[in-house]
Amino acid sequence: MMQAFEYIRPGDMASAVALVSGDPTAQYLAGGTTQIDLMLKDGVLEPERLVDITRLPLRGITRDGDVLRVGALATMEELAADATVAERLPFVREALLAGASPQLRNMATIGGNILQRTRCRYFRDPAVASCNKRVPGSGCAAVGGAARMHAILGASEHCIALHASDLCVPLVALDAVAHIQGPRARRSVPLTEFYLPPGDRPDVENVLEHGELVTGIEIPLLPAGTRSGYLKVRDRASYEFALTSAAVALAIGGGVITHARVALGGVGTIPWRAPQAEAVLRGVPVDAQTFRAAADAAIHDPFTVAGTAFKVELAKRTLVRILQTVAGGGSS
Amino acid sequence: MRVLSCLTLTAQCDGREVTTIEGLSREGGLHPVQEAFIRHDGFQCGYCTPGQIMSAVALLAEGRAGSDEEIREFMSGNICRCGAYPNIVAAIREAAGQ
Amino acid sequence: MTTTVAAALLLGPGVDRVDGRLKVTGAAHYPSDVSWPDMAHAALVRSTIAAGTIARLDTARAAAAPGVLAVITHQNAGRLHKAKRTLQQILYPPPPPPLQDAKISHHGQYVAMVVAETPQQAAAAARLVEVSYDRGQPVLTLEDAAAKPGSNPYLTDMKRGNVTAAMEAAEVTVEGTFTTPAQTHNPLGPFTTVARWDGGTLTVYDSTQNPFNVRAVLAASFGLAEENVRVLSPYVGGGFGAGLRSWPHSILAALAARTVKRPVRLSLTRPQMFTGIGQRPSTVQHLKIAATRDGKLVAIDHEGTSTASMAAAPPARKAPLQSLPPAPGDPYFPLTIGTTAAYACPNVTARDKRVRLNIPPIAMMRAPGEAEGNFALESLLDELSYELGMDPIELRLRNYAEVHPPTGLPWSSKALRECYQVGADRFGWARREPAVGAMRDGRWLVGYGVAGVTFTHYQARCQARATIRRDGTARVASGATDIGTGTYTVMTQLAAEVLGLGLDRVTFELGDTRLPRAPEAGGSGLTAALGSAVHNTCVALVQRFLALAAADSGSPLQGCAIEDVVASDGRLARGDDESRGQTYAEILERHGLDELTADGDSGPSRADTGVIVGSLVASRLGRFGRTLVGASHATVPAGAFGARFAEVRVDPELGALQIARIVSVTDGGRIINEKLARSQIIGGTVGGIGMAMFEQTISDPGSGRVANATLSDYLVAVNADVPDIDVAFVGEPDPGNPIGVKGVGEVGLAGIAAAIANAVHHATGRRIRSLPITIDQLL
Repeated sequence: MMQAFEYIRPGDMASAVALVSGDPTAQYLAGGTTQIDLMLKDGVLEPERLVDITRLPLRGITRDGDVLRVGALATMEELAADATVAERLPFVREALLAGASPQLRNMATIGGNILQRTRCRYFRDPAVASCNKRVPGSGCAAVGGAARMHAILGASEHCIALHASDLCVPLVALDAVAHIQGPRARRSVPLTEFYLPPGDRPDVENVLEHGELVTGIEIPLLPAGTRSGYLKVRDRASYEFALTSAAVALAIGGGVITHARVALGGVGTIPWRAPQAEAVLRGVPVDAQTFRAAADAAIHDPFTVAGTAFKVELAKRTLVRILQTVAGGGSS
Repeated sequence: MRVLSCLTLTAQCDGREVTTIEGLSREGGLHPVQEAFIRHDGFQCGYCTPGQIMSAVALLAEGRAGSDEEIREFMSGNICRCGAYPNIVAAIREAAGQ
Repeated sequence: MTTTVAAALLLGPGVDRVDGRLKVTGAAHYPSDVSWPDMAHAALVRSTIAAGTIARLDTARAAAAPGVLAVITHQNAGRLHKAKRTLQQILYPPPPPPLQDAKISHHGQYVAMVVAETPQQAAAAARLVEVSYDRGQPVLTLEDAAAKPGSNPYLTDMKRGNVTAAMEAAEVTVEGTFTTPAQTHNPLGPFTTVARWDGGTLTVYDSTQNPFNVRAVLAASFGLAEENVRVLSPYVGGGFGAGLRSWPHSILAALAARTVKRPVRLSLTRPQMFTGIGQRPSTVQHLKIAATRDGKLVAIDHEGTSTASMAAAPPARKAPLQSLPPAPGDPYFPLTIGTTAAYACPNVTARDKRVRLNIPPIAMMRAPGEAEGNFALESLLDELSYELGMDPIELRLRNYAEVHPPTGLPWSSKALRECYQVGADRFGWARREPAVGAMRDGRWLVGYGVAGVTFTHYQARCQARATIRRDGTARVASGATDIGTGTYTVMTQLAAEVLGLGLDRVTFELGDTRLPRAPEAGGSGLTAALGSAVHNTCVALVQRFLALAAADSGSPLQGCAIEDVVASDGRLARGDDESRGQTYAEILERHGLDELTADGDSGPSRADTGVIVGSLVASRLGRFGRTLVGASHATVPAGAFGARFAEVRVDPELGALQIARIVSVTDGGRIINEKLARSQIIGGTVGGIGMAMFEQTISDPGSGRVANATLSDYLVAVNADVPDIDVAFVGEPDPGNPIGVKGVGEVGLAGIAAAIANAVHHATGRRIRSLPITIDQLL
């Protein structure tokens, strides 16, 4: 539970950015599915000032040539229902609909999805003293604890917190770009550079300065004829984060892979693009051994603890399966 | 549009129209989904029921009651610990058929 | 009018719930909806260690926080007394009075309470309470070297014959170790107590399945006479056994109200629902079964160990933990006793052990002991069937217990054979190809599994009251609860049936300790107990009307005994000439009465105790004991029986498991309302799917903190996990009580985990002996 806070709903972006940039105790509020959760349910965030950006003109999904421009306030359901996404980026739609629940998808924004915080129950329980993400230098209780929904790539004894977004997996595969508005300037950062692996600073998750606002993302469309698919593996049939997942896009000509995009979910401290897997796949004929080799390359040098060791093999098989599905012409 | 009230600050609803379970039925009558839930026993303790019904009404408006499989998937955001799921699906299937 | 139900009437009409309209319109009020004028709110502070003592408490910042009315700790809580030991308290032990000392015995134990004007202020201030501890060395798991198992904690260990000799001589033996994890009830309704003092009288709304137990505990805590405490529980947001015991938060809510001299509402947060209202224990079972080559069971040896908390542990003694006296700190939860009654096997030993750990308290959770014990027994029998090359149903039928195995006495009713037959037919068991992995559907392996269930009988004493008024309506009442099982509706039906009134003319009131005393909604025993009490009470009421008629020479009913009349449409008429009769209203008017009331009750569980005693006598005294018991000519009251069938799909590459369909057949005796009973079986099945596939309460090694204390992290089945469930009822009304009911509240869950695990084996060849069956076990 949180302390009393001030709630402000500015009508324009400049005011919003100024309010948060100028106040280290201020935070943005959009859909609220991460923010309110961490404030009210978990007691991890205690902003003194909450700046509601939901009335800012950051909605809308528009096709601009070979790029899809998505406003940061577009919701998961809106993006999943978009005609261009359905036609040219099916694995984005699959990833969106595999995530959360319909109610959450109506609330959750694309900007918020990209910025979601980890679900790690050591991070989310303030009674746990050792969490380098919450309290830098205090250690990582998850490593010696009951870890399972945790990362094996980009992980270390400092932090194994998973980035749990489904949407971000195809987005990094697509080299989507985040547009950012700061107090004085704008910039654009590809998602593959946006996230920072925890390293020895798990409290720093991305390149944003305090107060910088993600205003939208730009998604390059896959070339026409590229097949794509997203496979999410989890314990129960729905309404659960991934144990492992994979997003792949393949262009195949004459039985040979001419173009490959691969990214993994459920395993990375950040959304995990797998260029090593793409390198294995590019220019070779479609076959099971190639897929397995790509998977072996993708899950390279994992950091596992007892509870996450099973993910190594499962993640490889997940990738192999979705490659088979997509290459075979079906969807997952 | 169905949303979770527990993650929505009341202040955020300013200027918007909110319908809760109390607003579903008209003049003492029951909404067809409410009637279907009673008929098919789509609840036991009743605690999740307002949420199930609001979610089901939205599901029908979303056009997602085309099959049992679709109903199950798109109602999975509403947990029922009493386990009334098969009856919830039956109630929604009936309401969809009307 | 007959006073028992005609044997032909097995399935009663599927009447809609009488509280349905309230529930679908959000008008049913749960304790968290109760609001009294000037009500304040309480929030709890929990320990962050599992063993040790509070070294330092600093409440100054909390006390100074906005809206705070009081901060209560062991330093200022005052004395709270422990409830006396009664039979109820052995089954449902009271919690140790909270905030009485600095000792910590589990992670999440309450160490302070803040009372404030709003719930948010109370919760915010609670986070400002500073506590430091002298850490002890917690004992947290069964494997811990310091964990000391106590033998025969429930006094239910039994044996018959000579297991050792029979095992040695056996042609075929199979054995296995089975483990089940701790699980949490997680009713959706957060447990809430709203408390108000009026002078020396305490009134509470409480999330409970056992309001009279709460009343006793609250009365004892504050040194009140029980009639000065009133507990109300008209609607509960689910229980599943968590509401059978009383919990410290209820005592604390009353303490808060007394301290601030205002009504107080205290709702547990979801993480607190993992430490504050009990859990299913984790268990380890060793089971060995021996048989002849042609499938006759010759010996079963079943040992089961479960966990319990340190709460109210008796002081350390030299002798092993024999738990009578004092009462055990955790409830009756034997794992192995079911095995003694399930099959006709001449040599059986059943031994329970319990290990006390620094974990939160245990509470019965739907089919406690039975669910876990059944998983082990029915899985190992399945293994035996493969070892013998025999159909798993055939193996069970070959060892069918025609009489109650521990005593040799006849069952009151048993249609388990029909459960298998009807189930096999509806499931299409004949399509099963016996070889492992032989059935496929594309890349999916297909498996068929079956399990049988023999459930315990339980019926406690119950009272009820019935009144008919001048307007011809009836009000029937008892202090029981309806936790979603349909008590409101079923009791309305029973009363209406006996009194001959339309359903809309009868109101059933419950959930108030001012009403006649009722037992807990637990043990699958409430419908039998309360239904019988309602039946008897309504019969008594009709008899009172007939007594009035007997004194009235102008009454067409004069001289009629109850067998001579029929009741319908609010009118009593002569059975031999239905044109001659009087309405209840006419009789009341004739005698100048506004209403007529009768009190009634139903028999206690003497028969249940008799069975346990008889079984133990037979166990201790061998053949002589069985002769002694046989001479009693008693009948063993049977609980429900069932056969559970599951078809599963397994994707071997990804370890994915799906339940394709379930067929569940139950002999529950008379089914008063087919629709609601079906819902109970479905609900139990969903709980069984959760137990088999998803549910485990995970604790951090070392600290004992529950690591998955939210509904996001603790996985229960969601809608997409649950396939079509085909439910059927067989059997006949049971002669054990006037309404023929055996109870089906829990039996639906038992057997599901084994049926699924057996199906998984059939599909994959993997024998999973550890629940839940997760992906990593199937890869």
